[in-house]
Amino acid sequence: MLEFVVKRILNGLMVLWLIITLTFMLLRLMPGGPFTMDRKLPPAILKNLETKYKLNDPLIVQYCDYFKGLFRGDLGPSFKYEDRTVNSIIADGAPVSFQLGIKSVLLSLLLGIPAGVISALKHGKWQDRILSLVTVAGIAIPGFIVASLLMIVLALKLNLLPTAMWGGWKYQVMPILALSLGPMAVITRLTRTSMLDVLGQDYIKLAYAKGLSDYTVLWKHALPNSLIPVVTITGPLIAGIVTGSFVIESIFAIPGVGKAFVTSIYNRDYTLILGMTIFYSALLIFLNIVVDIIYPLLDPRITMLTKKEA
Amino acid sequence: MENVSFDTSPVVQDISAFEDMKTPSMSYWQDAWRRLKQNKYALLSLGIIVGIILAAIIGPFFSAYSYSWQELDSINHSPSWEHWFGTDALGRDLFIRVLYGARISLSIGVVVSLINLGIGVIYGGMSGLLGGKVDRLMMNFVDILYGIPSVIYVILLMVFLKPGLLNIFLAMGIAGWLGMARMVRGQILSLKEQEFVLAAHTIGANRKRILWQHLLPNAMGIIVINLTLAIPRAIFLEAFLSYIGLGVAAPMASWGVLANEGVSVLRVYPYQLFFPSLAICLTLLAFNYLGDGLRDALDPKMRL
Repeated sequence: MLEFVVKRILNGLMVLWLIITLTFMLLRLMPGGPFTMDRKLPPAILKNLETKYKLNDPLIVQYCDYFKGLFRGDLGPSFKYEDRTVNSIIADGAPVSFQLGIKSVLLSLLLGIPAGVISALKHGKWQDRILSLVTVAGIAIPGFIVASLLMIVLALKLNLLPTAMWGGWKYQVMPILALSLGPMAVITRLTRTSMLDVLGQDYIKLAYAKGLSDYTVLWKHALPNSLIPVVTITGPLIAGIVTGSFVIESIFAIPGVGKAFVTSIYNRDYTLILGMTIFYSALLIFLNIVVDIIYPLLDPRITMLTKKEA
Repeated sequence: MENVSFDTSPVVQDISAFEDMKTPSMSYWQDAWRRLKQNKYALLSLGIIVGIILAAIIGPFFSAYSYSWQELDSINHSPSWEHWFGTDALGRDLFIRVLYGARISLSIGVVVSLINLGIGVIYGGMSGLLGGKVDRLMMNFVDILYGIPSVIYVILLMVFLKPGLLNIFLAMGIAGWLGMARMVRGQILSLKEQEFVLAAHTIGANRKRILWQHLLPNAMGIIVINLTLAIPRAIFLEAFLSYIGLGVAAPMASWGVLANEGVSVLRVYPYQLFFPSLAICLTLLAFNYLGDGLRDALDPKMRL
């Protein structure tokens, strides 16, 4: 167990280092500096700016400096917003994005799993057909279209909810719905397939033969076993919600990290892009490691020992 | 011993009885097509896809407008007989822009998927075929790359490269092949232990021939399914990139760019978002349904 965890963490760190290095090199090699604008800056000011941000040092020195900063947890300054650092921008946005993300994950699990179970129990009946239709639509329709539709109907036509910004629960309904629809569809489909598979197994027949009630068979035997595959996609699911939040936060003008990331791309704010990329990569890698560690705990059939050790 | 006789006639009769029951012999692809034809949704989807492709290729020739032509006296006109989908803020005909958008979005979907497939087949095929240490090394490399969140990685590449069609092909092409490589490798690994490969070995076929003539054709079903499902994924990702301002350059516009422009005037002219969104949804739904139908038709596990 411990060996597996250590190995997994080392692997994650290596990936992170690879991403940081690649990103750093890509952004430094880019044609046009961060201060290239429509209006040309006077050479003296440009020189001062470049000295301030140490852009004239050799690449390898800049790289080492950046890493020194990273070890202190410092992601550097923002090029566009003079008095702000990448850290402060992330710290400002993170609570909002975190709230949005957690609620979306929970909603997609709370609706997706029961929908999948119903679909499997009513296999081939009208409930299953309708849910399948909704599922494919949920997978196929991009989040920004869902968001726009919600905005037109709920906010503009019916005036039920505020169109944008961030505040109480009223402001959260549409973004959370838009963010969780896709993942919900994926979960529904996966739960359905896995549940159908489990229901066909011999131990379910045995449970019925023993005279157990439908309720016990479903809750004690079928459901726990069919949820194991759902855990495996939690990683990609969270990644989907995180990247989905870039667009959703921008549409609803939510002051989260995702919106800041998109703005930094529009602004070509290199240090901010670099910092955000590292932040997001680290987050996703960390979550994947957590899922990988939890998964074997849920399913005793999967051991973390490799063949050689077994 | 003399009185033990083998009467073979009933057995012969049995075989002939079975022969009568046999369905006409069909190749794998004929059988798959027969199954697909029974799936109404998949057929309808195929029809929609063919229709959209034809409209994208032929449509612009029959239109009086071009995608960049601006009519300054008809700005933000609602849909009418003259402009079927209305006009945008620069007085451009939206119908023709959606048709041109189809060309761009579809070609992105197809080209990107084919690049992914090409790299995936070569990498995964080699890894599976060579096996042993090489396989382990090659798959470790894929595992490491798999840890990189691919959307963020594509965004970065697009920030680095200038926005444009070729660069989208490049960035998305080199970012999305990992899944394909894993899938092809898995298929090759399970196929290469089978007798027909051994037979090919014994009559002296070399590795290259075995891969291209024996292994890949047998993995083709799974490859086709994955390709069909990769196309909508690429269109989806491109729409997403365009949406955050990293798509093709103006005045060209993919569906994602059109939708993005539509959102900015959502409150006043909702039709400008509606039509590009409709095109995106219809295409993605059709490809997904077709992919699901193909999976049912081609997946050997489903064959009875």
